[in-house]
Amino acid sequence: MSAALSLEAVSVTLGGRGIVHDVSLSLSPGRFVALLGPNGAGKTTLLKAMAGLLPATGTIRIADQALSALDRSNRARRIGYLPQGYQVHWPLTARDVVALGRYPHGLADPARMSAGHAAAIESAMVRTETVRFADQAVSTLSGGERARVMLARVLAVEASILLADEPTASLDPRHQITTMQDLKAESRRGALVVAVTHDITLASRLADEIVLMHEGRIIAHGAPADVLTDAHLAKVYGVNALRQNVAGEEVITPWKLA
Amino acid sequence: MTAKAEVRAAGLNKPAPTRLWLVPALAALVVCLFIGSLAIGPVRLAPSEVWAALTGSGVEAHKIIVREIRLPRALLGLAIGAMLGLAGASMQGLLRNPLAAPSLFGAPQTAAFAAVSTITLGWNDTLSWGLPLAAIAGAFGSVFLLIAVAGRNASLLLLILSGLAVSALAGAGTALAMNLAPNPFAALEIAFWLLGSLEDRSIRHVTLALPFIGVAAILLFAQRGAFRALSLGEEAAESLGVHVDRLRLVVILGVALGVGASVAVAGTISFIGLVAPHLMRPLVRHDPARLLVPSALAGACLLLSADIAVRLIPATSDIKVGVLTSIIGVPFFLYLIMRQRRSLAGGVT
Repeated sequence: MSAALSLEAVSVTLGGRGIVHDVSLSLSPGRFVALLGPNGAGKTTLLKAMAGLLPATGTIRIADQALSALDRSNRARRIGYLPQGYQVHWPLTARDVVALGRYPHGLADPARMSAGHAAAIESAMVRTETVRFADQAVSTLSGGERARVMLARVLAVEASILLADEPTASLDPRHQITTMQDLKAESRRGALVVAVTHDITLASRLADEIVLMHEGRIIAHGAPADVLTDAHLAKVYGVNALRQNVAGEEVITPWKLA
Repeated sequence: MTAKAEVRAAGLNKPAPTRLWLVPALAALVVCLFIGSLAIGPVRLAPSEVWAALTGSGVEAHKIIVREIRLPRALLGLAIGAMLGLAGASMQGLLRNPLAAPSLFGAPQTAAFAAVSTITLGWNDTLSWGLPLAAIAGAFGSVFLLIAVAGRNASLLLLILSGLAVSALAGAGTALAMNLAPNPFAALEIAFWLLGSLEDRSIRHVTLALPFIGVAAILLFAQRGAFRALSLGEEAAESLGVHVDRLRLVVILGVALGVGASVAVAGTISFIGLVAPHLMRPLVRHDPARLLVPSALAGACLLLSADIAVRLIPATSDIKVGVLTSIIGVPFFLYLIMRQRRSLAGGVT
């Protein structure tokens, strides 16, 4: 199968400082990939470069096309990007926020939309269970509910690649699990989903693949069990993990400083 | 409730409800005020007399009053009010901040300074094309300077402080121009820009300002979808396909064209751009895109009303409309600050 997203010798320099060094990576469609690494490892920078939001050297390909050759609207239709934080600057209704996901597809006014746009918005809101506060201003929602709305917004893009930057940060345990499950479900619909996260436990349980970053480089990429070894965790995070077998599933919990 | 039933209950399968009456109602109000502006003055006319004068069948004196004295004034009130409302809504959309408005950032003041300088230097007279061009350049410079100083994701506090500095600089420049004015007549002419008025304008003023205002309105209105996408922040908007750097430049250009041309013919008229979008925002569910047209119409209503009001207020000498909008606008601004106290207090970081 051809890669949904491939990187060849990608480096990113911000303000004269190298953040990502010589990263090569190939990711297939239909996979849920967790991008792990300590603070400052370059995860967010790499994700933004994949989204075309930062200038990078090297080659990034979307399916078989160079990312740099795609025009803006084409790129926006093919890559959904969920930034960190759940900020909305105006108290828009949840429905209007989700409708923004259709902007790359030419939806100018949510008050006048075609059946196709309406169906995409509806599907995204049903999957994220945000229908019941569709007409509420996002400013009145809880942090967890707002995060669900933002997830619905990026799902409504119906892109073949979904990049999410710490989608579970500052969420309660229930919302962390539902968000990760929704992202995995989106990958099962055929999309490549890449999520930056610090949640080793959930990532090891739900992700198909883990990309582990350290000091701007990828030091391991593969199945969770192969990547989250004691040696890697000690080297990258400086922690030891507690490993338990619960109902046939291996649970990895960061436990002590290494 | 099943997902299907929930979707139906939320009306998700139907387009979002909007207040369809809003734009027609505002447009009707604009028309009424426009006719009022033609009818009200030292010689009071009935709407039928206004109509007769406009269509050329009325009394000769009425024709002169309506067509040559009041029509340019009403047209400028309409166009400038709409422009200021639209410019305010656009700046607020770009900066994602309800306290953003061209007048708070010194755009009209700087435009006035540029206009005044060219007159003091003897480059222009008040009816040449050089004047709006100078004013536009001034306004462009001020907005550009503001964004350059305050930065892209500037906090409210940063923007307002920078705006204060830009305004103060423009004010000092204008005072200097007045100080250096070659004769008392020139100094008087300069004072005219500081007050802001629609009185005694001719159709020549209208043709001087209207092309720029028209282009500005088209430029700004075309960005409506991008303003909505910007609600999610610059990065998310960029990921949705918005060219944020270009958008910023287009908005600065549009605001400068519109505000500069307005200032060139009417002087500094402040606070319409702050008040109009604020009044309309709750009526469009806070959508920065749907806000543009109602803000423009509300701006036209506000300026036309203010311009009618200055004719009705009994005073020994004429009150200038720019003075009136400031007297109403500044307390309104204080009220907005009070309401935003918490976020302002937190904006120091």
